Amino acid sequence: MLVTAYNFSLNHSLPQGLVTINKFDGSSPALASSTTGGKILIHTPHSKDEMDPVLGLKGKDIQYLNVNKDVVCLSGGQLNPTIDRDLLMIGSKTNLLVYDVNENSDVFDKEVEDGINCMLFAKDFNPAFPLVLTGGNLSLTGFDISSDDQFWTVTGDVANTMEILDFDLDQEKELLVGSDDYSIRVYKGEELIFDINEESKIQFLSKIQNTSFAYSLNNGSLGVYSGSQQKWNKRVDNKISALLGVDYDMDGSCQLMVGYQSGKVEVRKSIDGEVAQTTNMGASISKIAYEDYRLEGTPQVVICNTDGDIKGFNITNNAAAFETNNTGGKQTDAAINKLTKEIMKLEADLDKDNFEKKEADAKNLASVVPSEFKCSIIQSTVDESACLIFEVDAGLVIRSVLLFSDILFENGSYVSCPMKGTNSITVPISPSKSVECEVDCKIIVGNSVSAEDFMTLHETVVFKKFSLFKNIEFSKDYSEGKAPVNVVSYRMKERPNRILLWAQKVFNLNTEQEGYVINKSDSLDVMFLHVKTQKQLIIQARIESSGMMFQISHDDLETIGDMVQDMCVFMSIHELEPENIECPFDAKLATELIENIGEYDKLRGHFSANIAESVNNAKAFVVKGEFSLMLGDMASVKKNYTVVQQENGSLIGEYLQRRNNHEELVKSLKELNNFIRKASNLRLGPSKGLIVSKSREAIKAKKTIDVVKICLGNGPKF
Amino acid sequence: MDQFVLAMSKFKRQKYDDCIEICTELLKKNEYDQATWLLKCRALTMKNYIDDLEIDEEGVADILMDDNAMATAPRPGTSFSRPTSSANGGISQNVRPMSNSGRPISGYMRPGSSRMGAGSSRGQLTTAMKANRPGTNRAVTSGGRMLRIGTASMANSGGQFIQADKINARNTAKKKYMAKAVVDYLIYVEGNFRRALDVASEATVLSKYEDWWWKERIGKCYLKLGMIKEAERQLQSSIKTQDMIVTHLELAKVSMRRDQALKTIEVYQSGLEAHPFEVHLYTGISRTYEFINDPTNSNKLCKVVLNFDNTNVEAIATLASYHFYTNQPEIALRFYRRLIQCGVNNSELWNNVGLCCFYASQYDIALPCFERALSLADDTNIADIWYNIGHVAIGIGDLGLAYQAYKIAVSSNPQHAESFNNLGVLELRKGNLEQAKANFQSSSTLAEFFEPCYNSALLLWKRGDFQESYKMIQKSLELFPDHIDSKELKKNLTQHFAAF
Repeated sequence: MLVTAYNFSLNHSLPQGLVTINKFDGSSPALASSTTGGKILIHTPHSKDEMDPVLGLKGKDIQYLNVNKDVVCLSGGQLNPTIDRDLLMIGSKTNLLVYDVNENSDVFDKEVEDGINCMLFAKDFNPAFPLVLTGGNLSLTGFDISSDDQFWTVTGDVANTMEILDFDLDQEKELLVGSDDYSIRVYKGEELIFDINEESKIQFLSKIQNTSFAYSLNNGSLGVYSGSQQKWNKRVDNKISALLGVDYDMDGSCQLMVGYQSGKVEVRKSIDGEVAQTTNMGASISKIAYEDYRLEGTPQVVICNTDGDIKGFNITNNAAAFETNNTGGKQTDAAINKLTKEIMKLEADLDKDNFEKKEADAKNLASVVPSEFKCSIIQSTVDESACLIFEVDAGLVIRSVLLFSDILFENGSYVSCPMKGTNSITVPISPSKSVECEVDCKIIVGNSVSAEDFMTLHETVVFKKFSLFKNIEFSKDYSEGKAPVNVVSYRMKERPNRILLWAQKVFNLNTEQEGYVINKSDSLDVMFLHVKTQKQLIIQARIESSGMMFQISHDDLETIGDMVQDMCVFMSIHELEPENIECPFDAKLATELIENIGEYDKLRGHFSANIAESVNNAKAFVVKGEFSLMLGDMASVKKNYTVVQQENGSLIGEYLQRRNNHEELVKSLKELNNFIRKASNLRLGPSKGLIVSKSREAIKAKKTIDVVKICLGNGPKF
Repeated sequence: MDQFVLAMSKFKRQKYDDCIEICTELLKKNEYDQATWLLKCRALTMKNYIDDLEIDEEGVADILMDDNAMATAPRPGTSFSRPTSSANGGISQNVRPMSNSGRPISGYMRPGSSRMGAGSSRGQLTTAMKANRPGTNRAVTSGGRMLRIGTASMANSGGQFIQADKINARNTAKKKYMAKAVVDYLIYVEGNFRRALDVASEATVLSKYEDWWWKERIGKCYLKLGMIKEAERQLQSSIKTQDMIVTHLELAKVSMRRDQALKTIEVYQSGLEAHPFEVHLYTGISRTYEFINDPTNSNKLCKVVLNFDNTNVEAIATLASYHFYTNQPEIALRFYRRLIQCGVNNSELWNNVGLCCFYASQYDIALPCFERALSLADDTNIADIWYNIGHVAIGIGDLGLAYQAYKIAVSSNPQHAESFNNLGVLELRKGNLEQAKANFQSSSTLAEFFEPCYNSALLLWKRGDFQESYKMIQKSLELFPDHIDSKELKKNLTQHFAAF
């Protein structure tokens, strides 16, 4: 349990997440935090050096670093394994600066093209050397001490948070990345090995112990996974601002500490999420750390809030005090539980009495729901959306349907309650993402709408992944203009029947009518129409002499990739290389993107130079103006400051241009990364990662034009 | 003889003015003669060429509005503005006069040694303009100090050769070798770094980023425009393409601007890996150590430099001044003699020789040396020499001569604070308390060093003006925190105040 050990204030705002505690001189801890105006504050409570009295510094243990850029993320760690002290890593939107605080020297300042959104120091992700990992727009980069990017891969969306842990218990660390597209991705090296779908943007990830980690989402969900298994998840009212796994009760297993924007700090059990202790810090929590900040020999829990207050908590296993405190609570709990049970029992008795009475009544009225009836749930795809159809025997009425699914419905649930009595309800569902999920259905059935008694049926339906594709009649003439231009074909040792099995699992197939699914012993032809985008999808398989040709035609490469990945999981294929990729539009788009990137990149230098020139001019005229002021020459003061004003105006103008240009550049880079990701997703096995690393090499060598070739291949290979 | 060949020959013989004249004539006949045009461009550049690696004086605006330094309060010994205290082997302020930022005032004058530190005068416009020699001042921006004094007036004679603002960067860049000449012209003659940068950035793209020279020039322009991060990137990339000594030297400047002394040394050292035994790099390291007041390391490297280049004036002078301030005037004298052998003949050197002779008890040689120094002196340094003569006079007990010498010193340079201080001491001996007080006062306002502050505090204390005395002693301690006498006086004063 936590006992307050110390409490002091830095009198400086400590922004959320931008706080790190490290040993910059190798022995004593110091706290670094970003403050206003592109500055970084370093609080060194145990500095050995006497501060210089020449400067007459008050508050000797605080120093500032000028970064002159907005700090996006801050981290620290022993990046250089040969020296025994931590380096400070400062991430701004475009640059990563690694700085040696002790020696007052830059280690390197690297421009990160894909931007920086989050950062993590990973000591043992790569066993050979420590890395600093940055997550940007659709890409992850890892730099070593000599600023070489030793690690690069693409990810789904803007990466928000990262964590390192041994996800699959193979004694090697994996990288977990939480991103804007609701996914937690697990990377082993540069290869994506697992993907967890959540229902909102991922906010934080934090390791608890071994394979278990906590996550929090933008919508206020909080939960714990152990490997790929979810232990629990809960919704909390307050906005979460910090997470930390810590061995709170000193029993060897770590619990979860949660800091909120309201200033509340909770300790929750990592097994079931039960709250064990709470405390309050007044202002929004900016960081929870577990460090020996006072050099006492044992680490404490250090909690910082945005007002600059820092509180240290000792962890004690003062079992006696803890127990007595808590046994009181436990006894009360037990008593309440016992009483609740009694109430429930009494209520049940009462119900039973009532029921028996009603049954007697019902017998008289003959309005009871028959004990055996059929309720069918059918999935189908109609013109506008996918839907679930609930149907009961004629004569019965569905009073209402309640559906629960965090992924499909915005608020987690859906209720349909028709006014008229009907024995069939159609619930339209249009998920934003292709994902397979379980839907919890409660169907309330009665004799009539006004009946007194209803029966509740509880069913679980697995919602098919690609339900939004409507099966249409197969025709070979693509005259409608909706015909897909992208064709990806594979050669594999499989039978068309297996493909059909997979298709049945993920699509709503129309097998009843002729001409929809054409399945012969050596071929399969199915055609779909996406109900929203109105784009066709054609899946074909043919047995040829050298194996089965499998071919997907659709306009969206991303969806093709999704389908291929899903199919390979279904058929347990671990390695797959496309025979041929034809996507003229995407290829053209990527080529254009690459050209644009070159153009934007060139313009950027131009704008920066203009800005520098304006700054220099403005500076010179400020000095001249001040000199005129000292001489009392007011006419010159006015003249000089007029120039300053003009320069300032042009400075702002140039800045706006540079910003727009930069935004365009970032957007283009994002799309290019997305293209690489889509292309790599068309493959399985080693070539999947190979595409990514080859593309990266091409970009680094400024041969961007090769990216398209690498991603799409040079045509069919035989 | 063909005029063009003659022009070429003039260029080779460094007769740039003649060369330019012939080229101008030739160009009048045929405006589109590219060879002549190129030759004229080169000649103009060479005429105005200045070794800008050595001269890197920052302008007033750059210093006052400088936010390049990373750390505001770095650990002592890791920054140019906070040299290590004397405890780390540096020479004490007691022995060697230092500026308020802890830099020695005397010694070998180098580019950048006049840079103001983080002391209390920093950020004040009045002191910023003052350069470290009387009668000179700083340029407003760093680009303004690229002209050689002697040729500055001639540079613009005969109109502009290239209209910088009318250059089409892309077209110029396409003419490979011409482009290089144009960029150099823009940098060295026009001082127009912005346009030079435009041309160079186009050219580096055309060269597919494979020409180190373009990258180095872009880095130089960025540095002058104050974009030091971009400069660093270009220079590093240039080194990757082709490792050149000049690029390492340029790169070190970036770290100097960032006020990162140890990083600067690292940059030089990485240069030494590729170019072992390179004197410029060793000199750079030696200078950096000198700036952070670490004479032990600095001297070690000076000796290395002298191993390779035994006439290196800077190294000899640095060693000489170090030995002088560490009470070894005889050894210092030998170094100064070596300088005379090397052909250096200026008033500062003779002045130093005179001082060394005096401290080595060779009084008979000391005064002739000063005489020679006086005969070589000009307005910028004559006050210093008279000040030293006064110093010697005090040493031999001739207070009358000393008094006169100081009077001459302050009359030739009314800003000479040290002379005012010593005059004050002499007045005090004479019993003119008011005169002495006034001298200390003017000395302490003219420059920031601790002696006049302490003297004036002591005087005020003796006269019973404790309040004023306390103010002065605080100022003295601010300038020299380890000064024992000041500390003692402050303790006494505090006791007095407590007694009241």
